[in-house]
Amino acid sequence: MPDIVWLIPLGALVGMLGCVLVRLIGGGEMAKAPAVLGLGVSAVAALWVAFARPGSAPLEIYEGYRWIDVGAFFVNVDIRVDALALFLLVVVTGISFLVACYSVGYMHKDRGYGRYFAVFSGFVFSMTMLVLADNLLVLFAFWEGVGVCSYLLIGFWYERPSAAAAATKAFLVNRIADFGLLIGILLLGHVVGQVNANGSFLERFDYETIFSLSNEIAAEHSMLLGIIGSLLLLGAIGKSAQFPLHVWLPDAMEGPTPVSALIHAATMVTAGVYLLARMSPLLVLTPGVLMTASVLGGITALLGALIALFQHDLKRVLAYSTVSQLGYMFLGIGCAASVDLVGVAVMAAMFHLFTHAFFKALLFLSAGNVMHAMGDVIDMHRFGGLRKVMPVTNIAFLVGAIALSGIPPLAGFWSKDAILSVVERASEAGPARGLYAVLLFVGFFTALLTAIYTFRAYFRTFWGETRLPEEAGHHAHEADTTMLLPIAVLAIGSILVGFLGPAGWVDSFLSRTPHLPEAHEHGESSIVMLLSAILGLSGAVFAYFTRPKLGAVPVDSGFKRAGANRFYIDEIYGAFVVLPLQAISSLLAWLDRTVVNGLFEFIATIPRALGAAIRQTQSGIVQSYALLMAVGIVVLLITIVRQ
Amino acid sequence: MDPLLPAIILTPIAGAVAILVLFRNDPKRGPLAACAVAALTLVLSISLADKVSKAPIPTGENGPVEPRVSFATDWLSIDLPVITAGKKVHWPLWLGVDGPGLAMVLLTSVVTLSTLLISSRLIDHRATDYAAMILLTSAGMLGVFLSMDLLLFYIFFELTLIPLLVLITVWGEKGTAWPAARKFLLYTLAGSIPMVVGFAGIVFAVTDSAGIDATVSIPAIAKAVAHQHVEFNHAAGAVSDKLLSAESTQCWFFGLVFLGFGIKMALLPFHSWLPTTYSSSHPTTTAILAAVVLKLGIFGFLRVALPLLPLAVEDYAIPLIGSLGAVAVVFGALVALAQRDLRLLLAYSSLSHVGFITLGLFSLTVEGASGATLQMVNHGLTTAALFLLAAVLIDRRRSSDLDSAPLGLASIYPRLAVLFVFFTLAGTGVPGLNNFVGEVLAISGMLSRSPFLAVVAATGIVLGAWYALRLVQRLLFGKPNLGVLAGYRGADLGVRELSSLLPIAAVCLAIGVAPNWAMKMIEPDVKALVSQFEPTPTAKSENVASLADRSKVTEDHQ
Repeated sequence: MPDIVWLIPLGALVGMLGCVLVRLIGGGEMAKAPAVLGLGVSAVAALWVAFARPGSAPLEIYEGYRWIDVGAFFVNVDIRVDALALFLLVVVTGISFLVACYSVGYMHKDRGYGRYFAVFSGFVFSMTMLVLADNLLVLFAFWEGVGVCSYLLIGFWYERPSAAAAATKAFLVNRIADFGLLIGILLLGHVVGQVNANGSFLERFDYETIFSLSNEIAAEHSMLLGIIGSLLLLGAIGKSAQFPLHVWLPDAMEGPTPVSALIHAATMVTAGVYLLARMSPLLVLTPGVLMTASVLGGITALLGALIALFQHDLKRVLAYSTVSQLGYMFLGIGCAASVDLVGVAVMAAMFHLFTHAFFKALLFLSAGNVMHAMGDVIDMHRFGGLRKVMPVTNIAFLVGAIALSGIPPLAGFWSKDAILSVVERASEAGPARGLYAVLLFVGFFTALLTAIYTFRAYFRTFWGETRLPEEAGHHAHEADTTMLLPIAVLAIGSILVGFLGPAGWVDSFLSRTPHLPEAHEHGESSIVMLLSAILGLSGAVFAYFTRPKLGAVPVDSGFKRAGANRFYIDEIYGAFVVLPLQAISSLLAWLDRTVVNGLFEFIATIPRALGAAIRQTQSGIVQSYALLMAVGIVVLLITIVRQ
Repeated sequence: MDPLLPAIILTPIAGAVAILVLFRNDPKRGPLAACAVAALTLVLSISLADKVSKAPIPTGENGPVEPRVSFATDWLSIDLPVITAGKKVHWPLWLGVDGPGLAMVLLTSVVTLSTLLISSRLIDHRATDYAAMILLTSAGMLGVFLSMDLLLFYIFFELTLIPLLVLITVWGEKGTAWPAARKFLLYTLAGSIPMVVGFAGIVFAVTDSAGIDATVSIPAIAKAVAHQHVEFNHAAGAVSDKLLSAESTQCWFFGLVFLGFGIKMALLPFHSWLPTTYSSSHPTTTAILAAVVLKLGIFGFLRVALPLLPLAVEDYAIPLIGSLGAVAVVFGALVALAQRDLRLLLAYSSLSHVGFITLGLFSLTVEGASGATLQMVNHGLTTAALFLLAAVLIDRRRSSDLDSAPLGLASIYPRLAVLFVFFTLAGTGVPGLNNFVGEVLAISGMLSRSPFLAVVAATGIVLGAWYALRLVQRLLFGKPNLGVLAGYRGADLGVRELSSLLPIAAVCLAIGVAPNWAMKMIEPDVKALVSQFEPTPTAKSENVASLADRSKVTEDHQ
């Protein structure tokens, strides 16, 4: 039955097809019209379904069509609407629409205008379907779909070798994770089939099937469940750029900046968090996996913040900041390892995802304004004091920086506080108290670092003497209105959406999600709150006093060098993964050419020699084979039949 | 009784003869006439698909192989001058088509047409002869896919060899084509001799043991064997003196047939003819070789080995062939990574992808084998498209070596670049495009048989993306390398190239988004075929129950 819900993905899909059509008939920059229109329809539909539609049930499933139905492998493409999905959809479609509006100005006069908007809309279509899928296999399909769009957009300026390399790298690192995810999903389907021996559930990969059988799975296949959980986690850490698979995200900044804002900060990279949240009713049965998520999240948060401290490229600072903030979300959601915290943990992570989408998109788009004005220069060594040149962008960036640093009362403070509170509660009771105590400390320390690197970047870019690179020419100016308007909306969002948390709206909205336990006793510890506020503020103050002065000789240290070189993680992968594989590959190629091939060449000479011996004349190959064939047939037939 | 079946085989043969007679010295109209013949064959194949979809679905009562549409006449039915068990062996000369056969017929027709369209622009030496040879090859392959008896199957299987050898030697690379053709011939003969012995053995053995009329008809033998198989299972391993129900005899024949089909499909380690042949033939020839000729071997396993030698297949499926498939996936991908030549890279990539088909087929599950059958079509389509694109590229550049990369071709040939990226993504198994469906079903099928092999093969998902995307990066991305590109001639894809490749792209997308219509065509026949390998439903649930008990017991112990 066609329902208005379908407009959410189909708006974007039709927008994409429209762009392709415009591109084919040579409509040039008209491609923006179908894209913006389609995304607008998606956003309005999402908002309407989430907030305005009367009388919706907690879980609604809309039938689509049968995708695969072979043997026991039965998958439908249906849409599943519940609070968790809607919560994310509002973010995805809303921010996509704003960023698309921004792109209209940003991509102006680019050769690939039509291609840009087509893939952009395709991304939104895939992302909405990823969220709306009602089974894991369709989720996987669109999970890869967003990956492909991300690949095409990172490599958008394909003539740049660095962009082409970054695109390949992003796809490959994600593929490693997707490999795990796919095996995990198929294994889960297999286990469901085992448990569901009487065949009462047809669709093995459906969330509802899995959740209603999760207790049986845990009882009968506890070890397999652990493996499945780990594989799902592997998928999640790839897409969400968690340690040790975080290496692709900073390179992904080679794409156009609006793409970095939307895909590589606000939406796609949060898919891993969504996956864990979605699968939390199953994952609570394997607390080890969730603890691993927390630990990896903690490591990533700290590592990202440390590297961000030492970067000079404004977009890279923001990229590592994204890595670090995603780490917070993983840290939070992993607290679901203690059963009574499941609801709170999921909500805290989703809340941080929500606010982060606003202020990180804001920061990236502001950085985009800077880049646009500076003639595509993004190295903070080469410009400074831009607040006089770009007053509006200055304020927008400042709002984003305050929100990111967790300074009250902006959005980031509330959501980060929610996560830290959950970690604090996990460190008070539960199976892994000591572990979470350490992670809590990491969380606080990272909060301090976050404020430092954010404000350091802010001061370097916007304060001090005005310096402009030559590439900026004489037209360094504030961005135009089409670009500033979406920024303004995001800035207002970054200021306001944080209050939705303490007002209890997020909890009450998300707790309508089926299978998600309600978050009772909303006890936020005032000490956590106070401490994170102090850390945020003092980080900002510290950054102000230590901001690099012009002409000052930078202090060099081994740690700083390591940080600037991303702690050599890329190099380690190069030396210990890529090189050995390439060596094996060359070795196998050599073996194949010489040994395998040579062996068969050798065998091939035997019959010829035999033939020559028998005939004692110069005989062609074919004749000797024909002879051999005849002899062979007779001998073999006799041996077999008369056996 | 449907004359459509012989018509599909005879049209390309008649067409080839006609254009050789009429347009021998007309390099313009000859290839175009060949395209028209191929288009007609495609139309006939599509109408056959329509008939098959309307035909009643086989129930499995008539054995594991049952054509849905068939053609057999009395006057073509011959008694062979071979006598076994006192009876002359009967040759019914039976053409028939079932789901998998139809899938392959459609694939062959599509790929033939596409290849002819592209080659009509690229071949300038004896163009009409080339087109005629392609048509003859295609006729031979269509014959294999439509044969319902062992003798006809064998004849067509070998007949394809002749036009193929001509294609390889006459239009191949100067210098390397002859040795490559010799190697191809030697390999194929080394396979087909044991294969024909195996076929003969099967016929004699069944006639001896099953008490049926001596025949080469595949459905009849399959039915008799399936019947024995059931008896064998009921006898719970009691040694039967009946020849074909004895595992050891089946294993003998399987070994012989295995050589024939394994070499034809370039199963590891019998693959070393493949890189040489692929890189020495004209790239449009390679498109046919990779897309369809390779599938003859796999189809042989499906059509002959699975129904006629079930006990041996069951024994060897996982430890031998499934393992070889999984290894091929990884091995092919890794070797592809080291290649410096576009055609060799695509050749090893093909080797790797065929591993998935092997894996799925020999999982002997409905989902795995159906997925593998679909994957034969999928792989055929994407590989053909990639080799055809490579043919255009090599023609523009007169070289297929990748060392001077990056080339930055995307800036000069945008249409070619878009299609290349599209088919590369399809090849790497991106969901929404065709290969994903087949690969995921193959992996899923194997996962229920041997999780280890499934996981090993699944690493191919990562490795496959690695070499494929690196190739895209080297060929298409980067600044246009004007120094290298100075030697380029010709324009981006034109109408003829696009009309060849865009339909393939559309089919890839259609299969990826909505594979179920194709699956429903394939599934019933595959189900009938593999049902003998799956434990009966009651036994299955008992199994699961006992498994559950066991895990409860272990829990109690803990």
